[in-house]
Amino acid sequence: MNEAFTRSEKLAGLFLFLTLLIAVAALLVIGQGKAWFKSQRTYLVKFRQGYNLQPGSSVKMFNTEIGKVTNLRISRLTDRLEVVVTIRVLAEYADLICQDSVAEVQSPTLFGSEYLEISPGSPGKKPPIAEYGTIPSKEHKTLADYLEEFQPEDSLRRAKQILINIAYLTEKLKIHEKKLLTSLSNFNEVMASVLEAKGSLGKLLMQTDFYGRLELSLTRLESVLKDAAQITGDLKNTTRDMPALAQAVSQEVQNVKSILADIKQGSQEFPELMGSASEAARGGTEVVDALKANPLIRLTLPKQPPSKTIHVEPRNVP
Amino acid sequence: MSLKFWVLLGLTILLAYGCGAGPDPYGQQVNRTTTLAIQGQQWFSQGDLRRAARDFGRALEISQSIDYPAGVAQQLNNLGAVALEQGNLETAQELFNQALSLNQEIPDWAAASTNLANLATIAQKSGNLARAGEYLQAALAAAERSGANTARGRILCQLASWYLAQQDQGSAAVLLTQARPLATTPALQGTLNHHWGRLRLRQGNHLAALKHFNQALAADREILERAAMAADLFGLAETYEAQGELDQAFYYYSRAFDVYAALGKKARSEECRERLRQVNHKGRLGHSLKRFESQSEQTSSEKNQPAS
Repeated sequence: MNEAFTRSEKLAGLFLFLTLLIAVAALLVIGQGKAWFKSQRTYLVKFRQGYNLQPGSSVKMFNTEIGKVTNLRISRLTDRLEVVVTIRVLAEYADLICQDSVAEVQSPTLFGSEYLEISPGSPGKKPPIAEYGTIPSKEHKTLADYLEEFQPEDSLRRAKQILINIAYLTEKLKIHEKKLLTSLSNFNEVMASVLEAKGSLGKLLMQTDFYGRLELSLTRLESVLKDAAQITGDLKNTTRDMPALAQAVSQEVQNVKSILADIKQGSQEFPELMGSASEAARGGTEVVDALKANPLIRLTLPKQPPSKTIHVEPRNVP
Repeated sequence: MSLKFWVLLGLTILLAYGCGAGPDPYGQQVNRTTTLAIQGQQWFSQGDLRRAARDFGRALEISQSIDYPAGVAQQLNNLGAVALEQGNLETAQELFNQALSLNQEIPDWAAASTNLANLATIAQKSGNLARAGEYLQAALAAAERSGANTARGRILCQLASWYLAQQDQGSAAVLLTQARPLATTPALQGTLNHHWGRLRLRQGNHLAALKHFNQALAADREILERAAMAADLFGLAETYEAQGELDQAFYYYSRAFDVYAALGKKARSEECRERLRQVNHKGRLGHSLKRFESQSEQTSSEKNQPAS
């Protein structure tokens, strides 16, 4: 039996093949977008509670999604019950998750759902956390925690104490009211004597020419004060510019510091750079030497003149 | 068989031969020494003694590290030449002596004759003409032993110069005549014509002197031997001065000054400046000497800082 396929069978086969091809392509495109094919690493994070995290919640670093929460479970292994959150993070960011990284649940301001924020560690200074290792965590503060911190009872107790103190002061003032009234009556009598030009103070105050002289002095004083005000104004303007100037100077100093730091860093890298450059040059020379050694190339190269022993003639000597 | 077939076959054979070329690390290092030495010679010719010393030093290091005595001797001599140009006569003498010992052991008599001629230059510069004469006789013997015509011609020219320095024009003429058939290279032709020019100038034959100095200048320009070119220009200027053509003398002294100043040869450029002043005054030419005075002050001393 060696029957050939009919035309409709071939068409159906082709259709099926194309469909399969499109499905595979779509799967690949979706998988690429969802990072299915990217290598991922699993870590654990432990909290006192779940903070509404769910499988599928985002794991972020610098507000950038780097993975997902895959599982949450309550651990009974220790005396204290705790929630163990399993996360999967893209392997390319694994080097940023170090021993000094901290995981914390972040709540949305208005919309959205909770997510897990991981602070980057210090790659190079601290070792990275191995796969299935536990990332240090920081408990998320709830509203109840904040209220507890506020301690309303204590604040009320303090307010009550202040009111008691005010009442006590008022009572004390009432006791000294009589003495105050006596003092005011004495002051009244003194003022009457002054107005009648009695006593040295009264005479002094009631002399009219004294006021004339006083007015003159005051006019002069006014002029002096006006000048002083002008000077102060100028000074104020100058002083107003001072912070900006100081800021500019400070900015420049910062710039210079940054330049110096760059130069310092550059100078540290320079020997290494020179080493690499000289190594590269040496490599290049070796390649050129090897090329020159090739008879095919040697035939076409211009002949190198021989080096000579320099003869210094007396006519050329300074 | 078509031509295309044979061409392809030839190329294939060449390619196969090229791919199968054996490594030659020693030859490569020798080539590197040569390249560095040539580079150093170019710097030396341009008057950049610091760079010349650097390249000769590197070539010396490589030659020593690969046990290449000919290279070691050559670089010791060349470093001595740099020291001599810098006016460091003691160092130069020591280096020339080291090079001479090595060349005698190798033996390379042509190179040894150059070492001895350089030692003679030092002695002549120090004012010890008798010692210079001894060195030159030894150099001539070494050159004859080498059988190299250029080496012999070079020493004969320097010996003639030595006789000229002692006002012995007859002996100088004999030696220069002996050197004439040996001058087959532009360098030697330049040297030979320069000394003929000097001899003719002393003899008062100004026309012949001008002819020889011009021939020397053309030969030295061909190989771009700057210091020699400057010496030829100076010779031309001296001849014109002796002839009483002071305007021409001023022109050639100024050209010599420019080349010496570019080479950083302070003493020579100052000598030119002094001659320019004299000629300008004597001929009442009225040229401004400001350029020469300011340029003389700037004469690149940095180029000729003693190299370590």
